[in-house]
Amino acid sequence: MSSPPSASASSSPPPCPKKMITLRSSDGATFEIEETAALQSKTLENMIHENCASTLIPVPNITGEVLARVVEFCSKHAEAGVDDESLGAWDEEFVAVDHTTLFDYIRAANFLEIPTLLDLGCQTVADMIKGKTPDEIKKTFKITTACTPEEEEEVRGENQWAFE
Amino acid sequence: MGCCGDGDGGDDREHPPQTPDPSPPPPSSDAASSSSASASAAADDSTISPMNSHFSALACRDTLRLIFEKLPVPDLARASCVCRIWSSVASDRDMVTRAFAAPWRLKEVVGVLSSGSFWRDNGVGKFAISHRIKRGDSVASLAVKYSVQVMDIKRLNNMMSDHGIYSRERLLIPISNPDILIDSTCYIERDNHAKREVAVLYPEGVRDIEISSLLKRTTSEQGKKRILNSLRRSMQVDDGTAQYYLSITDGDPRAALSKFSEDLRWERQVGLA
Repeated sequence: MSSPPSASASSSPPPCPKKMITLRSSDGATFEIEETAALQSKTLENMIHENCASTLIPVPNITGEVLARVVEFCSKHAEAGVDDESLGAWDEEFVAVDHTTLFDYIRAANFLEIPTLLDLGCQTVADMIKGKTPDEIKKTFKITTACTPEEEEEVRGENQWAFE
Repeated sequence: MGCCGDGDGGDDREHPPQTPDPSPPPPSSDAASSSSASASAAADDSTISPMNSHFSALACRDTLRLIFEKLPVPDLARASCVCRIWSSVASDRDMVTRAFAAPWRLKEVVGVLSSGSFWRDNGVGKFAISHRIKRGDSVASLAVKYSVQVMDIKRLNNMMSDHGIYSRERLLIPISNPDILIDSTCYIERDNHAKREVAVLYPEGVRDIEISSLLKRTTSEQGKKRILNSLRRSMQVDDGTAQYYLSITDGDPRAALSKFSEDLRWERQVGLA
């Protein structure tokens, strides 16, 4: 069973083990990803099954920088023979980034429908929220909101016990 | 936590743009350059890049929902104090119910609440077993049966003495073993004796309150029939008319009669009768 070594524009119907999909980010950078890795993304999976994946897939909402990392994530998780512990450690390192990047991952995972990455990202954010007071949360995530002082008082009153 | 400190957010704007950005329009900007600036700014918003993803992810309700689903009750309560959109997502009925039930592995929580603050505390003290009082029950015997302290039963039901439980239909028993809650259905009720809302567990699975209210309803059905008949006779009308007047006065026969005579008077006035 032989397959073209790097078929970026493969139009052969029968799926080959090493079939590569090419993605193009919003800023024009292209990335190759194995089909098995691409299947992590429900969006890409649908495209592959409908055979739209024979040509380049544009991903207009994601920049090259973020897309590169997402491809890395999918490839790692599609790898065979990785035990849960080392994968968990790898995941931890993956999300050990600044908030902006973390939210990039979440939005990309949302757009591409990658449940593993979405779950990982959201869990990381949830862990950041745990144990913080609302003011600390606002500071951490730089939320400057249009809450009037009256609204804030009302909400605080309801949840007064949470501040003890 | 591996996240970096606060300094990063502030640096965002200083980072060289990843996507081709127009240089800031010169002071004497003409319409063309300013419109292209605003156009690409709009495009930037929908592109996931280091420049602008920070806040939009946190303003997206679906994302927030996924994040909040992982929070325990106290953190969810604090999250609802952060800003309006967080408050809206964190106070959503499904969200608070799920957070409330999760640590106890409840199957379902049923009930209408007077205030949302009930959901903000899901300690074991919020739960109780409903015990129907039978002949021979005493506070002491119940304490033994459910492995709790007499003091705790009395406190929960606001009892002054150990006696007088036969005047009540049921007693609320505090939970000693949380495993009993697993896969159960709890009913949020405002107990008259405890004077607060409690999540009640019915051990036989049958909800006593529903049965007794059913009983009440049937007797009042008979009573309603009696009222209807007497009204019909005094108004000298058919069943349907009597029924109608009863319904608009909420079952009050006196008011029904006066409304009926009012209507009769009006009909005579306009010459219909």
